[in-house]
Amino acid sequence: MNWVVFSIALLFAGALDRTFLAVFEVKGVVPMVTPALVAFVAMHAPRPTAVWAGCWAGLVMDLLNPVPTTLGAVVVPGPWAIGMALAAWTGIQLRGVLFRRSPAAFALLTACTTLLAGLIWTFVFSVRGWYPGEGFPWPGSALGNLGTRTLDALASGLLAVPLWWPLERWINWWSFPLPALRRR
Amino acid sequence: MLVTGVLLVVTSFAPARFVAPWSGELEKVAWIPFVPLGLLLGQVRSWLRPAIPELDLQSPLAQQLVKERDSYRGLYHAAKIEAERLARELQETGRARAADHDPRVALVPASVLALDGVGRNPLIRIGQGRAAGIVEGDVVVHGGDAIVGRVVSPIGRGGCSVMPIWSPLTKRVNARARDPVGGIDLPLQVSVTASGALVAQAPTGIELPQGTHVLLDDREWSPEAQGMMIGTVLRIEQPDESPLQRLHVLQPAAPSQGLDVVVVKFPRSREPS
Repeated sequence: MNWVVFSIALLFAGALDRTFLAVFEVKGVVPMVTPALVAFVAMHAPRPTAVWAGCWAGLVMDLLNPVPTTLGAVVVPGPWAIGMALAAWTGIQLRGVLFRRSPAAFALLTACTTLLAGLIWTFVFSVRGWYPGEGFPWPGSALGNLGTRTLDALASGLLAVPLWWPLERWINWWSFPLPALRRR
Repeated sequence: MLVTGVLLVVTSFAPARFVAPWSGELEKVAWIPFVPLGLLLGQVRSWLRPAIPELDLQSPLAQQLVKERDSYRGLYHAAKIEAERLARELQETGRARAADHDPRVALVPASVLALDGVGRNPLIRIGQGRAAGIVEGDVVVHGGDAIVGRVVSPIGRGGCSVMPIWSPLTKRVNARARDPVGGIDLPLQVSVTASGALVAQAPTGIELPQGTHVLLDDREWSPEAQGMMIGTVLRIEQPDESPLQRLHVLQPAAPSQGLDVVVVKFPRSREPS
C-alpha cells in the first residue's frame, strides 16, 4: 500500500472528522470519515498493513479528540487506536464474504468498523471512569453512549456510500496488491 | 506490533494524571498538519451551519441556570431601584443644602412610602423615623425650600407621618409675602379652607401681585422651617361673607401629587452619632 496516499487521505479524513462533519450532526449523532478509510484499507490491503493503518488512523483520532475529565480535557492515546486496529483485523476476516467492489459492502464494513471501535472506546472509558478523580466523559450511562456510538456507526455507514466512488475511482493510487497475490 | 499494542493498552488505561502531562504536547504536535485544512473546513462548516446555542430547558443544568438568571435579574432590578432612590435622595439633599447653608441644620432624606389619611385630611408616610433623630414638629421640605409639612406623632423607629401644609387640619400659619423682584415684605396669615385651598389673608387694602412668594415666619414652627416657601400667589378672590377682605389663593410650593423623596430638617445636635 502506498503510505503517502494513505497519509494524505488520513489528513483529509481527520480534518473532516474534527472540523467539518459536525455540519451533519443530528441530535448528537455525527458521522465519521476515518473509519471509512480504515474499512477501505481493510477491504484491499494485506493484514499487517491494514492493522497498522487502523492503528495509525485510530491514534490520530485519539490525538485530535481530547476527552473531558475532572482534570480538564485530556488526550488519551490508545482507545481509538486499539479499536481501529481491531476493527481493521475484523474487516479482514469479513472481506472474504463481501463483494469488495460494492458500495453497500463498503458501507456495511464502515458501520461495523465504527461500531467495533466505538465499543472498545466505550469499554476503555468505562474502566477509566472508576479511577479516583476522573469520571465518565459522557452524560448518562455507558449504555446510552453505546447507543449514540451505534447511531454514529449507522451515520458513518451512510456517509461511506458517496465516499465509495472517489475511493474506487482512484484505487490505483493506493497500490494495493492484487487479491491473488495478497498475503493472508 | 505486539510492543505497540502493549504500549497502547498501557496508555489507554493509565490514569489521566500520568498521561496528561505529555499527551497534551503530543496533541499540539499532531494538530500541526491538520490546522490549515481544519481552519478552511471549519469556515465552510460555520457558513453552512452557523452555531446556534441549544439548551435543553428541562435539563437540571438549564433549570439551575434559569433559576440563577431569575435570581440575578431580581437582584439587578432591586439594586437599580435602590440606586435610583439614592440618587433622588442625594439630589433632594443637595437642593435642600443649597437652600440652607447653615451647618447646624441636619438634612435627612426620606422616601415617600404612602399617602395615608382620610378624604381631605391627608397624611404623608415617609421612610425615616426616630432612628434618624426625627421628632414631632420637624419640618419636611421638597425641592430645596418648599415646605411639605410637619412631622406628627406617633413616630416609629423607621417611619413617621407628615401632615402637609395644605391639610385643613393645619393651624393658621404666620408668613411673610416677599416679591422675588423686591419691594414687598409684609406679614400674612396663611390658612387652609374647608375645600382644601391654601389661602393667605393680607391686611385690608393690600393686593399682592401674582407670583409673590409667601415664606413661613411662624415661631410655632421649628427654626429650620423659618424662611421656607409655603407657596406663590395664584389669584385674588373676594369672599362673599366679607367683601372688604381680599383672599390670596396660593399655589403650594411643594407638589401634593407625585412626591417621591423629601428632606426632613432638624438641629444637627439631635442627629444620632
